[in-house]
Amino acid sequence: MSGLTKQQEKLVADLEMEMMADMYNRMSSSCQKKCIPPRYKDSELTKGETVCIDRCVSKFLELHDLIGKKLTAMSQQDEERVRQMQAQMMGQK
Amino acid sequence: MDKISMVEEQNARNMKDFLELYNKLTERCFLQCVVNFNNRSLSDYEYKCAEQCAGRYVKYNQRLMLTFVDKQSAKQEAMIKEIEKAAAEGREPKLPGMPLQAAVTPPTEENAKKSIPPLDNSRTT
Repeated sequence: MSGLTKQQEKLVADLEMEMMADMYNRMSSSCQKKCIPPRYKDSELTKGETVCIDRCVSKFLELHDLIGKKLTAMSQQDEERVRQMQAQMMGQK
Repeated sequence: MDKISMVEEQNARNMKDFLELYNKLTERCFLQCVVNFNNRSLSDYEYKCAEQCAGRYVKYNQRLMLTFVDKQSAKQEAMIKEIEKAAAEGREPKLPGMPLQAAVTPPTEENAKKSIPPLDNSRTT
């Protein structure tokens, strides 16, 4: 089964949207923790804070990609191992 | 038809779990590893830290799941044995209480009588 039905495609797209939104929320709270100290002297962002936010977003997205690659590599490894084990078991039979 | 949709549902749930894990992992490793905002891109240290963080967390998750499944199945086996034993001895099985249910319906005598139906030996099925 190579292609996905329309319904499945919709599900996948919905899921991806949801996950993007979740990632955005997590990024927002993480960067706030890292860049904005809880000392509210006035309502304007300092230059340091704006620079920090820029870099925070950039780093978070880079980390997101890195971890995505690592997870797919690990799950491919796992699949490989399972396939090998299955092949062994079939061979033994 | 039902079987196919169940498998699909399971697949969809698996994928959702995987993606949630992915997001949680990114947030966690970011908070722990990324401390320096002098650059726009990740430093070598942060890169290595992130890789190790990801590997560890995934392995932790796998081990946690295995242990949980082990303990749960042992618990279920014990419960089944207790039920069989109680049935053989003709008494009520002493199962670990269900705390949620107890909290929702306060134990009165009426409730107790209602929840434990008397053994009906006349039924053949």
